[in-house]
Amino acid sequence: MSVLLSRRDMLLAACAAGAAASLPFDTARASEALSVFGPLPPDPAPPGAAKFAEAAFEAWKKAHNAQVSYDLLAWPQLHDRMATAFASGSAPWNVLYMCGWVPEFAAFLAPFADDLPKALVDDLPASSFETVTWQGKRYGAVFTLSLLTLFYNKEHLAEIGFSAAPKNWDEFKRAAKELTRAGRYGFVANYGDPAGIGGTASYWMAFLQQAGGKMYGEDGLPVFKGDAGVAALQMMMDLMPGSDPGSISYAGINDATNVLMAGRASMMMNWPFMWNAAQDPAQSQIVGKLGSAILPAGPAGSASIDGTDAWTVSKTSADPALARQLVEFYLDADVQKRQALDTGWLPIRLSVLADPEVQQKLPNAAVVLEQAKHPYNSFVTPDFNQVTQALGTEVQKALQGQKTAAQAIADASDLVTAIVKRRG
Amino acid sequence: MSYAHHRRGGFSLRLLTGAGLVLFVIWSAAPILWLALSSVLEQRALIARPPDLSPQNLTLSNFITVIGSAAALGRGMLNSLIVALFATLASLALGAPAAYALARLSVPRASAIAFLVLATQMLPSIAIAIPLFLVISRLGLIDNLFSLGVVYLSFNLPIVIWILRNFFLGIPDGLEKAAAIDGAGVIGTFWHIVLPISLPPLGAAAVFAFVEAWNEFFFALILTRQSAQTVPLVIAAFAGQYQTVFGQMMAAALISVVPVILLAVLFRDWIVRGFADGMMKG
Repeated sequence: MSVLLSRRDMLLAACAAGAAASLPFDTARASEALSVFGPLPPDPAPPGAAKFAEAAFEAWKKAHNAQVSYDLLAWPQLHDRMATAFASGSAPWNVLYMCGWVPEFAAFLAPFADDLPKALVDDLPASSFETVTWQGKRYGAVFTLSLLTLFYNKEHLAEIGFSAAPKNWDEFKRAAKELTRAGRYGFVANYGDPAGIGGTASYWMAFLQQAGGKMYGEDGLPVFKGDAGVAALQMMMDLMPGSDPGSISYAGINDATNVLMAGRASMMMNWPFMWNAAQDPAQSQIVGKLGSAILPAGPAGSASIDGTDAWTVSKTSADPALARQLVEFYLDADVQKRQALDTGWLPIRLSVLADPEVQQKLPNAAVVLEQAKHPYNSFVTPDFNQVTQALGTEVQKALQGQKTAAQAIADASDLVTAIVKRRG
Repeated sequence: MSYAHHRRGGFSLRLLTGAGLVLFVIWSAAPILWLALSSVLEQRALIARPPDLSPQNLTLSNFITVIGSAAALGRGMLNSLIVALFATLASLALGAPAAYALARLSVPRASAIAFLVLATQMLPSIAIAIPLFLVISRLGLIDNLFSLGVVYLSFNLPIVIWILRNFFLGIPDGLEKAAAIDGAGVIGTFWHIVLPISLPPLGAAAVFAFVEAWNEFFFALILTRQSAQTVPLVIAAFAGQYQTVFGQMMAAALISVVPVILLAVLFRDWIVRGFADGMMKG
C-alpha cells in the first residue's frame, strides 16, 4: 500500500511545520485597511471584484472608514498560494476565501462565526456550517449555496418519454442507457481528477449518502466499507455504459459541462453555475433546453455534496471585528440578492433563496433549496486532499473495470484508515 | 550495386528524410497552429466535438475582449519583460566569466564544481518553495520584480554556465597564447578575444534564459500578489473553477508568445550555432 505525495501534500506538510512558528511579522502590522484574498470572477467573487452591489460596497467602506483591497487569483491557484503564505507565517490577508480547506488551515483562522448576529445565522442553513467547522469551532460563513444537483437536456429526455428528471437510481440508470444513442451519451461526468471537492471521490460521496452511508464514525475512522459504500460505487459503475467514455479522463467540471452544453450528453451532476452558462448562446447549444432537479434518490433518498464557498477571517487580522463586519456585509440580504441576480451565484440566505424575483431569474434556486433539505456533507478534514486522492483513485479503478466495487471500497478503506491514523 | 540501384536508393532515402521532416514540422507546429486557430473561434465552436471550424464561427472578439478589458495582460507582459531581461542579462554577466574560469583557468576540481553547479538544478521546485518564500517575505520582497528576477537568475545561471563552459572548452589554446604574447591578461583575453567569438553561444544562452524566465509559473504564483504578476499568471486567470474561456485564453497566450517568437526569429542563426557549439564542443 502506498500513498503518493503530491505538490499539494508537501505544501500542506510545510504548512503544518510553519504553524508552530508562524505569524511574527504581520501581527505587528497595525493597519486600518482590510485585505481580502479570493477568486477572480466569474468564480464566486465578492462585491467590488465581481460586478454586483458595487454602490453598497462603496457605502459600506465609507460608513466603516475602511479601505478594502482585493488580492484575487484564478481559483485553481488559490490553495497553493495560501498554503505557501501560511507555511511561512507571512499571510497578509484579513479575510480569506475557503473551499473545503477550513480543517486544513484551521490553525491560521479565527473562529469568528459564533459572533455573527443571530438574525443572520438563523437565516442560513444550519448544515452550511458543517464544512467550515473543525473540532467544534466555526471558522467561516458560506456565502453561496453551491450544491450538486442534476442538470438535464429536456428535449433529449422527452425523446425517451421522460417528462421529468429521473427520480431514483433505477430511473437514472435506465435513462442514461436509453439516451445513449445517435452519437450522444446519456450521462457525462468529470472523473479524471480523483481528489478534492468536485473530484471523483466527492461524486462517490454524494452516492454514498444517497445509499445511506457516511465516511467517518464517531472515532474519526472510516466506516464506508459496508453495503452503502459498495452500492454507491456499483451505481457509478452501472451508469458507465450510458456515459460519455471521456468522463474517465475529463479532469475538470469545465470539460463535462462543455459536453452537456454542446448537446452531446443528456444529463450531468453539476453546480449551480451551470444554469447561467447554459443560457448563454455564445457558449451553449442548449439554450432554453436545460432542466434542473434534485439528484436521483438512492435507497436512503436524495443527497448531495457541498461546494463550500466560504469567507473566513485570519487569526492574524489586525482588526478582526472589522473583518467580521465585512463578512456580514457580504452576507447582507440585499448584497446576497444582487449576487444572485447579477452574477448567477445563488445566495446562502434562506430568505433570499425564497425571494420570488430570485427564483424567477434563477429557476434552479428552488431546486438547490430543495436539495439542501437532504444531506450534503462533503466530509472535509485537514487531510481531505490525501483522503480523496486515495479514495478517488480506487473509485477510478473500479470505473475502468480494473476492480470490483467491493474490492475498490475495501482497498480505499485501508488507505484512508492509514491516512487518518497518521493524522492522529 | 548498379548506378541505377544506387540512385533509386538515394532518392528513397531523400524521400523518407523529407517525409520525416514534414511530419516533424507538422508535429512541432500543430500546437501553435491550434493556438492561433482557437484564438479566433467562438467558445461554442471550440467546445463542439469535433470543433466547429466553419467560417461563421470565426471572430476577433477574443482579441478585442482581451486587449480591451485586460489591462492585466499589458502589465503582465511588461512585468515579464522586465524580469526576463534582468534574469537574462544578469545570468550572462555572471555566467560567462564563471564558465570561462571553469573551462580555461587553473581552477582546482573545475569539473566537480561545474557538476555541483548543475546539481542545484536537480532539486524539484517544491522542495525550495517554502524556504525561498520565507526568505523573500522576511526581506519584504514579496510582489517585487527584483526578487522574482533574482530567483530566476538562480535557476538560469547553472544552465548558462554549462552551455558557455562547453563552448569555452573547445576554444583552441593558440588564441589565448597569441593574446598572452601580445600582453593581454586573463581579463583582457576574456573580454577582447573570447567574448567576441562567443556571440552564438551567448545568444543561445540568452534566448534560453529569457524563455525560461518568461514562461515560469510556479514561483511567480507564490512570490507575487497583484502588482508583480507575470504573463503566465494572467493567462492562467482565464481558467476558473467552473469555466475556462478558451478563446480568450488562447488570444492572450498568442499575444504573449509574440516577443519570444520575435526573439527566436531574430537570433535563429545564433541559437542554432550556439547550441550546437555549446553542446558539442568540449
